[in-house]
Amino acid sequence: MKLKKILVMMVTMLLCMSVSVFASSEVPYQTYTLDKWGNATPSPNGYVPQRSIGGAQLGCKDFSGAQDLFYSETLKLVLVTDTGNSRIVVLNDNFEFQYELTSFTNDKNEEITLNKPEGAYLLDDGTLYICDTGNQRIISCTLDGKLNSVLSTPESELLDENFVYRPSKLVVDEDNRMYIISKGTYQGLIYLDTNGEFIRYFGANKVEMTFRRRMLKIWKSILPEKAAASIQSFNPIEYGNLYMSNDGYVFATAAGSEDGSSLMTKLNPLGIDVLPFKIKGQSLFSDVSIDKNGIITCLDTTYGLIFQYDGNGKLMFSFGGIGSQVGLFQKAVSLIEVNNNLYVLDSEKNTITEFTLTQFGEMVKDAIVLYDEGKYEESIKPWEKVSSHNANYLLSYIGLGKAYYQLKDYDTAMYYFKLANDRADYSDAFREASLIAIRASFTTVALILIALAIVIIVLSIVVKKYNKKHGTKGLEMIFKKKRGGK
Amino acid sequence: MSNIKRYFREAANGAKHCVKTMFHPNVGFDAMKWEKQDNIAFCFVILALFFFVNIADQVVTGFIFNTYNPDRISVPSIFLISMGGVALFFIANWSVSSLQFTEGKTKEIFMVTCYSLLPYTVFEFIYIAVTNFSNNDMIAFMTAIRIIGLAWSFIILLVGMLYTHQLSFGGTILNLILTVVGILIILFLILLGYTLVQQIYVFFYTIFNEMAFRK
Repeated sequence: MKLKKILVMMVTMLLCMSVSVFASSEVPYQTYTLDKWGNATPSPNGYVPQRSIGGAQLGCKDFSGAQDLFYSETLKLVLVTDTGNSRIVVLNDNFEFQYELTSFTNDKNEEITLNKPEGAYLLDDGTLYICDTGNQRIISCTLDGKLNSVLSTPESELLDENFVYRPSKLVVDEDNRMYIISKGTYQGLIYLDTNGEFIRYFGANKVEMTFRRRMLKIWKSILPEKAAASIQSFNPIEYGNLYMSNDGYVFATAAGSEDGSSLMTKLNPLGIDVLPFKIKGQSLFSDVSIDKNGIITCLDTTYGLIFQYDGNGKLMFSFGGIGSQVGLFQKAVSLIEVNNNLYVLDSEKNTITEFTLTQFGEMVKDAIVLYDEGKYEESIKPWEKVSSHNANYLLSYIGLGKAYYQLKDYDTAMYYFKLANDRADYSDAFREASLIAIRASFTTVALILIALAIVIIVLSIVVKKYNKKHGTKGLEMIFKKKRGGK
Repeated sequence: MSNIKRYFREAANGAKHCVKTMFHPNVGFDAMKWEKQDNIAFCFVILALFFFVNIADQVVTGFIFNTYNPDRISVPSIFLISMGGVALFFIANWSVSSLQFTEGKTKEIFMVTCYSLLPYTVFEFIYIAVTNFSNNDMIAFMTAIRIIGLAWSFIILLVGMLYTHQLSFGGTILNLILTVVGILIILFLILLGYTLVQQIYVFFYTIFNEMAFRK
């Protein structure tokens, strides 16, 4: 009997083990979302790593410290800025090697070569901008390598005397104006017009005043001048990477942060941060990408994680990690989204990792797209599917709650908002539900009150008449005065 | 049995005095000081109510206003914080007044401390009840309820201390400020003692380990 028990136990254990082995051999990481109290909870994978693409797979020289990926949706081209090899590798959207750009010829037939470029941007009309960081200039050319112009260090009275121009990343807007990150410049982005003339600094970041810095500031005002000079000065956060969304907003990530209070900003044309939520954490984002539905994908370089948020800043997935397996990173530097797949460039592994959406990820995305477009009714079915796959998926409950709110089914909406811990929306649903309840019962309550009032008036008249007749006061006819009491 | 009966009778008398004190603190505390109206039976009822309101705050507040995670609610820790807080204030005030050579007696200080909890407790109960029937629009009203409760409590405490210690108004304010300082000192001492005990424990634990592993 005992032996049988032990055997059964062993078989069960073996079965359990084999299951866990399968689960972990598929993907080298665990995907997480946040539960309603903000704790990380495991979730089914939204993305799985498919393959790792290096120079050998592409049929060209291996990458060396590549720093940037860029994808042009109209031209269906991917640019890899291969910093170490001083070249731009052009791939199509299936990640097949097309050609590479290393040098350009100008009008006078002089050859101009790249030196450690760190970023590139391709306009829809085929104009290519390259941050030629090593040569401190920006090169504008066509895709077949014909040079348009070379923009060297901008000159302006607004720039510091000891300003060093080290352009590393840039984006270009519809009117060919450039927003450039120059390494070591904390005043903001460098904003150049079409001819490369300096307009102004754009979107200067805030100085984070942490407690430590406030204390240092007090010390600075107390200490003598020489000692005070040795205390570090507080500069605004420097930008690390840029992304230009289709509607003309510049998304910028922070290159260094004291308290991690704002890892990403969304700059409007005035250079003001209009991101409706804050992404916080002791970490740094090296890149960001926004898809056409407003879903924001951030690449965390400190922990090698990818965070995907919906347009309202609710976390959809977080996955990845530090490691050497496919799907983990050593130093993730850049991220693009091509045909719903994510591609992450690792500058130490010198590979591009491809992530594809899983069935679950597709479900979530479908639902979120409908939800963000305001089609709440249509989103009920996809959200129900999502929550049946992952009962901990907070977004599905918010989505369902909003859908039922739109359908004026406030009780169901309240149920889902409660599950999602969404107090503000619960309050709205509760208000509507209580209004309905009040309206429904108003006539009954009012009738009862009127009847009560009539009864009281009649009774008081009766009491008054009785009192006049018998010479008593108040309600003495009912409550007789105790005689011989205290 | 008769003991319990007597306690209830005393508590009922205390309740009468307490309610009177809430609306006429001068009269009530004057009677406490000079007319021997100092039975403390009702004070324990107030303490119990205060403890319950602290639990209710986390458990039955309406969903919109309740930000506590139900998985993390611990009644022992609520007890420790609420009752420990009252005890800390009581001990600190007693110590400070003995340094200030005031006329306050231990019993009177305890009574004033407990009485001053009543408005807060009652208004908090009202607040908790109302939260179950209201939405975010009424948040200003809710805050007003809590602030009224707190202000009333503070006034009762101030007047009570004024009569108990027979100090001037400024002296009473100083007494209360010193009480807060006293609370901080007591907390510091508790922390110090805790660390010391822990180190002694580790010391003996290490000795025990040494002995145990040495054959």
